[in-house]
Amino acid sequence: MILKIFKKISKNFAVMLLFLITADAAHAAIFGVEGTVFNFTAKEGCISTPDGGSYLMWGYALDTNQMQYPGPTLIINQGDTITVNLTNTLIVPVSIVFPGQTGVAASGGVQGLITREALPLGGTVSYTFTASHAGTYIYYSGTSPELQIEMGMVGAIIVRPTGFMHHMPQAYEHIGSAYSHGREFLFLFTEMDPKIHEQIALGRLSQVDTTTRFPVLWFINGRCAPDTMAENFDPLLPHQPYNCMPMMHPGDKVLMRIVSAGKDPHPFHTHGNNFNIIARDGRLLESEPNAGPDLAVSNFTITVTPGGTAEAIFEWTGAHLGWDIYGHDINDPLEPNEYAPDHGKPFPVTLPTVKELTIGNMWSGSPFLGAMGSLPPGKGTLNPNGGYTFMWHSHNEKEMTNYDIFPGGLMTMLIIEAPSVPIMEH
Amino acid sequence: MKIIKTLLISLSILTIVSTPGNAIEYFLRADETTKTMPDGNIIPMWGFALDSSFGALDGNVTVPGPILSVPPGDSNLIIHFDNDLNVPASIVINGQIANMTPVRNPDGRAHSFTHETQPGNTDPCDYIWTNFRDGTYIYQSGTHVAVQVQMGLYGGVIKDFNVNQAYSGVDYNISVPLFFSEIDPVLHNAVADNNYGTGKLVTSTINYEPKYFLINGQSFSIGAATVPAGNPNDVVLLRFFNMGLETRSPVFHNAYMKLVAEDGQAYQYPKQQYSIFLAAGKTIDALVTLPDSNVYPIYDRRLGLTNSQTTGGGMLAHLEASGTTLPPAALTVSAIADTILDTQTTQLSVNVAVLGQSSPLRYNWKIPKGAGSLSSKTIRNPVYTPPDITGSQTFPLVIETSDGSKTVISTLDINVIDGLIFSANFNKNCNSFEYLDNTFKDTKASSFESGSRVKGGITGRALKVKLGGKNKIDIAGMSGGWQRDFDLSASENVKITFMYNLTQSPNYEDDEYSDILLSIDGVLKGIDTNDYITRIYGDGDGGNNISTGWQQFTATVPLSAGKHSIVIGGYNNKKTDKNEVTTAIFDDIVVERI
Repeated sequence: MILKIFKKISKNFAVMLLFLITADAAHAAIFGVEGTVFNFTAKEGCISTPDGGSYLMWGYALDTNQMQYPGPTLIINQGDTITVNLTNTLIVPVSIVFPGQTGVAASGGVQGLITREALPLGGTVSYTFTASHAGTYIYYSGTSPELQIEMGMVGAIIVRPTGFMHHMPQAYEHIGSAYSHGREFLFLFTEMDPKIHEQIALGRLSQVDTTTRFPVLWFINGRCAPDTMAENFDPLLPHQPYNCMPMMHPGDKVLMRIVSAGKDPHPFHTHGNNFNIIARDGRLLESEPNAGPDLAVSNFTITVTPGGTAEAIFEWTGAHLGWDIYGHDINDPLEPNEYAPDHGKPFPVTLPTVKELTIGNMWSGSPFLGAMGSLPPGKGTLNPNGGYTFMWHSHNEKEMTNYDIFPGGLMTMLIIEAPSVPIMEH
Repeated sequence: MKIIKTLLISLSILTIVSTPGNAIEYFLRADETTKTMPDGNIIPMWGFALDSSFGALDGNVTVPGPILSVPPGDSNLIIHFDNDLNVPASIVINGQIANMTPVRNPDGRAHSFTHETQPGNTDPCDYIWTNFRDGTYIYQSGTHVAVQVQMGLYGGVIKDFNVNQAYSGVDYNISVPLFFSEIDPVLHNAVADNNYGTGKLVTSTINYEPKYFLINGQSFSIGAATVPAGNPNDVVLLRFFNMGLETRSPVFHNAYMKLVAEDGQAYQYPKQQYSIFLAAGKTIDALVTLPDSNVYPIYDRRLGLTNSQTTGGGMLAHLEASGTTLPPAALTVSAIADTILDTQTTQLSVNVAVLGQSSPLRYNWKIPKGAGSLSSKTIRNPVYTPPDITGSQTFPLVIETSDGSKTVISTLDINVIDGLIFSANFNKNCNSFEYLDNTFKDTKASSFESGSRVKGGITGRALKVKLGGKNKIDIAGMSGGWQRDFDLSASENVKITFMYNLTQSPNYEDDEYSDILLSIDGVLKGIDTNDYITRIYGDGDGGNNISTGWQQFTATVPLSAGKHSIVIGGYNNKKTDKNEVTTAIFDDIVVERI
């Protein structure tokens, strides 16, 4: 028996019925704040974890907003002079360090062990630097970092290269760092030991012992899976505004901006294909200046040093699967970026019938990209566009749990949608 | 293989022993020690010390142990190990090749990666590496490593490609070691109290949880000294080592590091990073330039930044490009005599005031071609032997003294004067010696005196004086001698050496004697209080020649500037027969200044 297969989804299919995913959340880009002067406040706030946890955090808030975890992603331009003013409402001194930025000057506040700090309960300090290089960077507290990073005082910085064009974006000035419009995603990794947050919440700062830290929660962009796949600025997660929901069309170049913001290294693993690592710590992997990423490395797992950053470019076309992912006849026109040699090749096996299947929530009923098939009522809700999903996750498998509950943690799903499915651009 | 021992000087643990040109040797001792942490906790440790010789026990036990240097150009490293712990131990260097003979437990599992040194060994146990590779490495105990490494038995060992060149093409001005390590006090106390092992309080290292985090053996605390990193704009080589049991992530602000090597292997392409993935057991070499005279924090981004529970400690250090003079400081280089004859030697010496750091100094003497030789090019105080010259010459010697961080280059000039005034072996001619009759004691018997150049010298030809014989007439007093003049430009002590062989024919009576005589400027110079050098008396008719055989005479006299003259010859007080003949033969005359 041959399943009836819809070959294409109507282009008017606008409302997605995905669990927790709304049309707004299909923005496929990095959210952040732009400018040259940023006013941060170090504040308390609580975050939610999918196991029902609620934990006190310390974080950087922008202007008069709520505390957020991670702190605001700064999107700045190469060559700009940046000022970050920090006001401290916490009971401990705080600060910010900007590894990878050169010429960081701190003023105000008091001198700490690593940088100048804002005193508790109203103290201020300012930092200026020139963003002289493009790339992905990190910021975090330079005050008692072993505690304050755990508590949430981390964030990302994206420096757009000179001559950046929104519709033909590049991560650096060299064309070898080009990626597809709207296809850049932040992967900022952290971990948490709730015990420490509970002690802080109970006012027992002096009892905190970070040498016994034992994380049981793992985050991408401040959220544990499956919250990683909820929308940006989800009102249910008021202090965790950023999601991690990579989406693409076949043939896209997806820029992964990876920031290792916690204490532990995480081997981040992409199912579906290798990626090319093109830069580390804001520097292209090049044999000599201006060569472009000629030292790029292809891999399917990347471990970024804690405190470090990396950029990688991921592509997927369905090449070499050996069958036409659209279920085309040989005479049908090619889809954009279709792998031509497989065009028209039949699906290699006879699909089992619904009598022989148990149906997972991601199964669209059809093996073909962008197509739905017959499904029992209520199934397929997580994949209404018939996309392909690949798990992207920490390969330190225990990090895919939320406080001992699987699945969870440092994990998300890449969704590859058919070319006709709109992925809302930012 | 010769071992040349050097003397300890003041604070420095100076025990570099080098065989000329080929190998460097160290006397390394493993011993117990303690480390006091900033919170006052005193932790029992096992560490290494560098002694001046086996059993001297004059080294300072440190954790990490002293950084050893293999001089560029030396191919072999020999560690003479003294194990003063109460368990067997050994030395391995990860990344260096050695013949290893593992020691196994009865169940076959390796207890030591190579041969063990028993506790309290009374003779040094040697660990040898040949063809030592350039780069930055770690030595550690290779025995029961789960316990012994974390107890503190590790240190760095470095061999540069060339002076101030870590690898080919990797130049640096100053090298700064940053040695990361951890301490779990529970394990240390258990080991020290004999509470570690099966059935004891702590059964294994499985629950390792470090509480202290160190760079170069120090946990950070307020007031800790900065780490000297040369002058602003120096090329600083940061040598990272990690002998904790966890990966560490050194992060550096305000300047990018250029990673050039890992595990002693140079990268083909350097990496520009501000963070380093420094796995346990790893070494990484990175260059950095500090743009101004400032303090630059470097710290572990794996957040080992507490002293036990207390914030503001751990793996945090501050590099300072202050431009102050760095060790070795107060360096003077001297020779016992810096003006010598080419027949003499002089002992050179480097004198350093070392400012309280534990890296042994290494020396590299450079001597231009044709400038003579040194007893060793890699010790503090070699003996210099000049070449044979004429006239006078000044030879510049260069000494590079390094403590592993900074190399100081000094020069020392040695003035060498030709010691020889003249020498004569008579093999080709009479070497300006001229024969004269009646040279001594106012003799007047020329007919019975002669001189000639003859065969039968010590080697080749010689000069001869023949006295007496000829007829039966009694003659009293015959002499003849060979004279040579020379000039001195200054007053000096002059040493005269020559070989002589005095022979009397058998028929002299016992009141008839023959002498070897030397006169200097007309004054006889002899042995003891005599005016003769040697004297033979006759012993009556018959028998054999009486001969001294070849003998050597040496005398040293002070002479003023100006012209001088020596005469070497013979004297015979009386002969009464034709068959009474005195023969004096001279060879290998050397007149030199001393």
